[in-house]
Amino acid sequence: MTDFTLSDAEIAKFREQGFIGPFKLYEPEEAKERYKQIRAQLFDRTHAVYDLDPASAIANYDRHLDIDLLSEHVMRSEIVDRLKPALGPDIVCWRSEMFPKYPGDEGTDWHQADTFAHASGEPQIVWPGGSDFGGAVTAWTALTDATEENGCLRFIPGTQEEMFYDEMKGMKYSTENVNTKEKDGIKRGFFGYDYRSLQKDPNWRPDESQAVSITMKAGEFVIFWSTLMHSSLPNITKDKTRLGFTSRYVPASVQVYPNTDTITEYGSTISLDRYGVVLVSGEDRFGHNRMVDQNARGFRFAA
Amino acid sequence: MSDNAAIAETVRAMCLERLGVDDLKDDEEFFDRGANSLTVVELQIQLEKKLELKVPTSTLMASPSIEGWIGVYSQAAEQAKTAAE
Repeated sequence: MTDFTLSDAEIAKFREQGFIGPFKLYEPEEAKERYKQIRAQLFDRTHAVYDLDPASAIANYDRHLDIDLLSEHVMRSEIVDRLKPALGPDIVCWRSEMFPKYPGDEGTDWHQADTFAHASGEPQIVWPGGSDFGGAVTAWTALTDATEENGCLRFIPGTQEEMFYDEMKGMKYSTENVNTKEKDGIKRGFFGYDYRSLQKDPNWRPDESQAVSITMKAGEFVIFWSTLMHSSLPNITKDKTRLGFTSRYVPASVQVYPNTDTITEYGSTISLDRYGVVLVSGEDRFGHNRMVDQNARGFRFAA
Repeated sequence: MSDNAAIAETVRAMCLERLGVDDLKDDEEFFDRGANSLTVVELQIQLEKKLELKVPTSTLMASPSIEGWIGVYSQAAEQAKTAAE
């Protein structure tokens, strides 16, 4: 079995800049075929673990728990092997999301996520007590090409070790915030929130002169610390949707959604009754989190 | 006009009107021309009211083109007709 572990040089680069990649996962033809199948299956909510209106902003949270192609994707060794230098041998996938950006959609605000409390107001991941570490490592896979025109990711390298936002400060959700605000000359927002309201210093501005665009071909993925300053550009095309799929990972020692049975964010509430983390590597010696060993259709997660 | 021809005409006209892509070809996939998934679901709802037919959204989304939808709705009409006989 091929081992996709990062080389020493790649590990050093990941540590320095907070991201590494893109790497190819699927050949273009396979990527296109998977994209078509996944896109169709997203509309079938018969086995989705959250009972949500398809129009909800979080309707496609954790579809790796009911769509086989995504269940298989989050386990791919091309991704998981590359997480090990950062997260160690015992790793769980705790969240996945779809990020479509349609023609005319705004860009995404600059942001960093440590505990992921920013929208719900409650820490969603908590590292072991006394740890200086936080955040998750995200694998962002391009299901379509991602260009500067249709809204590719932007990173500010090396910003992953200092949080410029206080995720407990609280943000106000309103659909009126969507696609309506220009910030420093660019139409952008945060899915109904304004991420600037979490800034520790309201007068601070991210140094966009240091930002890099992560253009990707369909089928490629990039991995990055969620604490890395990141954003995306608006989609200024007339007919080119950008679709990204993120899978988020933490060590098995991290507590996920501690002391809560529901999450309220982005205008929706979900029950965690059918939720579980997925062990994608190693073993769980902690027992902090409910673990699922198969998806809602019976697909077995085998680490 | 046959039932199938009427279905084809209705599907084509409503797709062009609702998706806002004037030059959408019959075999072009809606999503390849930047269609928003919610707009496509709205289109389905409107079409099904007009055609008085119902098919699962995931079946339609597996063939998201004018040609594909004409096929799906024509088949649904055939099945409805057979069931009524």
